[in-house]
Amino acid sequence: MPALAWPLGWGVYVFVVGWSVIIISQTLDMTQFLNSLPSSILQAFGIERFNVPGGDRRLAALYYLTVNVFSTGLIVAAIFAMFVAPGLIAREVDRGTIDTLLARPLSRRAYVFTRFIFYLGMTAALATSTVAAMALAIGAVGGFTVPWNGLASAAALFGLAALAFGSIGLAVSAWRLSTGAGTAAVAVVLAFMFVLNLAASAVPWLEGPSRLSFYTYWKPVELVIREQVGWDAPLVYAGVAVGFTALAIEIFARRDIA
Amino acid sequence: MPPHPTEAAISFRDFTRYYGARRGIDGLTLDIAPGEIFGFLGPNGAGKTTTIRLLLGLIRPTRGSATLLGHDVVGDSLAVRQRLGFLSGDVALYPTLRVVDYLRFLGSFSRGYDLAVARRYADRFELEIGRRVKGLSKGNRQKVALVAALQHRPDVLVLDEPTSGLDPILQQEMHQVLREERIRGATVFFSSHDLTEVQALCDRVAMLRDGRLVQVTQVAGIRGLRERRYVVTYADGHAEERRVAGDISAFLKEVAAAGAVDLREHEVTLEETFLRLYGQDEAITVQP
Repeated sequence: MPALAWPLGWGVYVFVVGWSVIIISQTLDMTQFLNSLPSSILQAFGIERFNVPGGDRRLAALYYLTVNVFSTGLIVAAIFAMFVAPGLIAREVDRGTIDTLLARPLSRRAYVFTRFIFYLGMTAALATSTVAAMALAIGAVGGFTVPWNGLASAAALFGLAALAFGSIGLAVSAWRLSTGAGTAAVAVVLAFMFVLNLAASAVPWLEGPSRLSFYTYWKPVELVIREQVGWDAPLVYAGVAVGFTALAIEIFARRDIA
Repeated sequence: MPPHPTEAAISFRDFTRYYGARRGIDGLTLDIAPGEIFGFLGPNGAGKTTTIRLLLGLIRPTRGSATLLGHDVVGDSLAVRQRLGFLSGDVALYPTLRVVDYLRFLGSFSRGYDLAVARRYADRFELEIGRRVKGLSKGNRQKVALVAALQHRPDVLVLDEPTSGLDPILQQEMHQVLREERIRGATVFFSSHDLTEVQALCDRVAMLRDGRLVQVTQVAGIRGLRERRYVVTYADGHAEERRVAGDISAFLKEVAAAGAVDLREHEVTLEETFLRLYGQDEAITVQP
């Protein structure tokens, strides 16, 4: 079953993306229907708030669905990737294969680094494929101008968030030699970020720190289309990812595998 | 890092590891000669596995040092692991891999690895390397782990209770392989609590108790120390067990005079001998 997990996961992912593209393409007709509705109903869904190329309100529905569906995919992919990281090292410990592996002439630093490179590749593939699907839906199916800069910065934001929070889980799992401990650490960080994001709406001085919570960016229609996703948070995430990965490598290199 | 010149294949000097206040192994000083089959004996918790994990660099000593073929096991761990083959007591493999892929994966870390060597061992153990690991029996998984330990022709074999769970035929086959490895020039260092196995295989044996080395001796020497155990049945029907060491003529005269009508000799195994030794305290001298 584990061997099937990856192809199965990707299969489901591609199916959802493909299905979403079809649904969204059909919304071109739906927008005509939506446009015939009273303005108050459209306003209730906040549709008219969106500034889309050309300012055509019919297009807002398509944009809304397209960007929301795929941005949600992006954040789900990021959270999925975060929870993969704690198992990169500790799963070998959990299933008892670490002794045989480390009895071979393999340095522990190289071992962790290689696993992290795999993780980096997986996260990049998730982010890139999601952005490609968004661009496909917006550009090829919807026939609109693709907001490349917004998409790129959103992908960088969520991809680097996955690496950053995942690397925290990696370091904790290297320290405790437990996948569960690393997973718990990721969950705690995610919960903290969520609380930070909520608190920021009530506590003005938290607004600055809350920009490091990626929940802040879970408003993709406004942020991506208007290209309001900056590069400050991705840069901080990149620093966190590098720092905690280096920490994980050093912890594991020095730790007893008792 | 070049190896330090040494005559021993494995050399321990005051090798010590504590887990907090708990003693893993304490003050182990021991030399194992090249080409020797060396048994490391002791009950559970005696320090056998701790010593092996220290050798592999999985844990670090609290104090002391050890070398394998002249390479320091802490400072030059990669070189140490380049030259040893390890078989874990708890065999854990990657269930989704085919056996051949597993062997190739582990072998790829060693210089000059040749899958043909693995295939020869697999044929010898009647192991189907095209099968997936998850479909293998426990015995077959043990075979896979053994082939993985041997396939890169290591200079030193470190085996942690290698025959536990194996059927007698496979045990004999493994013993034969280890003897051949010795002829090839490899040193074999293995832990066991199966003293019959040690008796059959080892040149020398070390006994551990509570993390301390109790005795190192030639297996042949231990056999010389062994007692014989007799069950004597007398004319009145009662029977008694007697243990006799050395010349038995006096014993025979005694039981004959007492009216013995039957005398049965039972083999006293090395295990019983060791258990008696374990029962003694620190008075037992170490004979390197």
